[in-house]
Order: sequence, then structure tokens, then C-alpha cells
Amino acid sequence: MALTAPAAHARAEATYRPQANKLGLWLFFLSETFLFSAMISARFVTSGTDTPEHLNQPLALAITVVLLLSSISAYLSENAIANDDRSGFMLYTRITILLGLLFTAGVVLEWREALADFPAATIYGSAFFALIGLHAFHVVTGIMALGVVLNLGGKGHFGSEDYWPVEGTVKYWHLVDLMWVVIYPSLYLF
Amino acid sequence: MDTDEQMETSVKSSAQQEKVRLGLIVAAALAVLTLVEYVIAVSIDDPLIWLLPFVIAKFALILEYFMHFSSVLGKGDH
Repeated sequence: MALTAPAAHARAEATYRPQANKLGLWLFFLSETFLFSAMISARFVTSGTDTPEHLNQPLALAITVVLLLSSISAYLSENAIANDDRSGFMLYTRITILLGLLFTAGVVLEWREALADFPAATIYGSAFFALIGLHAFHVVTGIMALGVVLNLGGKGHFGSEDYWPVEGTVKYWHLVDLMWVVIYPSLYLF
Repeated sequence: MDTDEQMETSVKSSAQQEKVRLGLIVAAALAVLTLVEYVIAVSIDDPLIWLLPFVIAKFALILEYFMHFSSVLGKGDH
């Protein structure tokens, strides 16, 4: 029996929407990767592998560990909602947001110190502040997105059959971590 | 709850535990790689070549186990 136009549309939507969502997200990630790659390249083109003496290495390591921990809690959050464990989802999402805020506070602290040691107008300073600023902007938008899914989750949205918004947000959070994996050694260790 | 439901719940629960365990193992590996990376960086002059394998390994671990990249290529069950 032939389907009516709205029914056919609904069936096509149900079939292709998840794939389209996933493809769209990964294309967005690809564009983000280009953006970060350009910024990281600029750091090496302008100042080689030189790094200033005054970089706060322990602080950089500490915020790296905090971001790494937030990735684990984000992973556990997605895993919890995929298994209808709402309380686990709420708990791990809150932890992820807190760790994200802690990371942001660490970046602010780092900026205060760095501004005194190498102004943004210097060659290394411009690469340093632009790259960390770009990354921090992504962390802040990630925290906002996590806040939205936390709020919706608290109102009873999402479950094992429908958690794409959580999955997308958590993947974005992992992207932020992924970029830091390259930024951290590029600015502090090489 | 009938036997089928109990079995389904049990399978689901053990699958969840397995994923949590895997996530924690990957996290531990990332932590170890980060610490080794740091130690190399502070103890070797010009450590670029030595650090690259660690950066690539961490990148690959996050991409595969946390972001399920292989599912984009049509592999895996994520």
C-alpha cells in the first residue's frame, strides 16, 4: 500500500535524520580541525619551536589533567543516559561542567601570569593568546551546551532510544579535549 | 519482572559496566601518556621528535574510544 506524503516524509525523516545529524556534526568537527590547525601552524611559522622561560608548566599540566578528567566524566554521562540511568547522567554532566569551569579558571590564572611575562604584542604572545583564547572560547561554549542538556535531562528529556543531543554535546566536549592534546605540547612542551 | 526482562536488564547492565571499564582504562592510558610526555619535555632539550608519538597516541585514543570515530566509517557498533 502506498504511503501518504506526510507518512512517507516521516519515515524518510526517521531513517535519514540520525545519519544526517552525525554527518553534519563530523563535518563541523572537520572545519574546527582546520581552524585549530591553521592557528597551531601559525604558532610554529612565527616563532619556531621556541618557548618562553616563564611558562607556568605545573599549572599547564594541572589544567590538562582537569580537562582529561572532564572527558572521562562526559564519557560516563553519555554512557549513563544510553542505559537510561538518569541520575548517573545528571551527576556526571554536573561533574563535567564543574571541571570545565575549573579549567577555565586555570586558563584565566595562566593568562594573568603570561600577560606579565610576554605581552600579546610579541610574536610568541600573539600565537599563545590567540590559540588559548580560541580554545577557551570552545570550552565556554561546551559548558553552555552541557548546561542545556543538563537542564533538558532534568526535565525528563532523553533516554536510551533518544539521546542524540547528549551524544553530540559530549562529542563536542571530546573535540575540545582533542584539540588541547595538540595545543598543550605545541605551546608548553616543544 | 519476567525472566526475559531480567535477562535483558542483566545483559544491558554488564554491557554498561564493560563500557565504563573500557573508558577508565583509556583514561588511565591518557593520564600515563600525559605524565610521560611532561617528564620527557622537562628533561630533554628540543623534545619535538620524542613527543610526537605521544601526541598521536593520545589523539588516536580520544578519537576512537571517546568519539567513536570508526562508527563514522561504518565500523563498530556505536
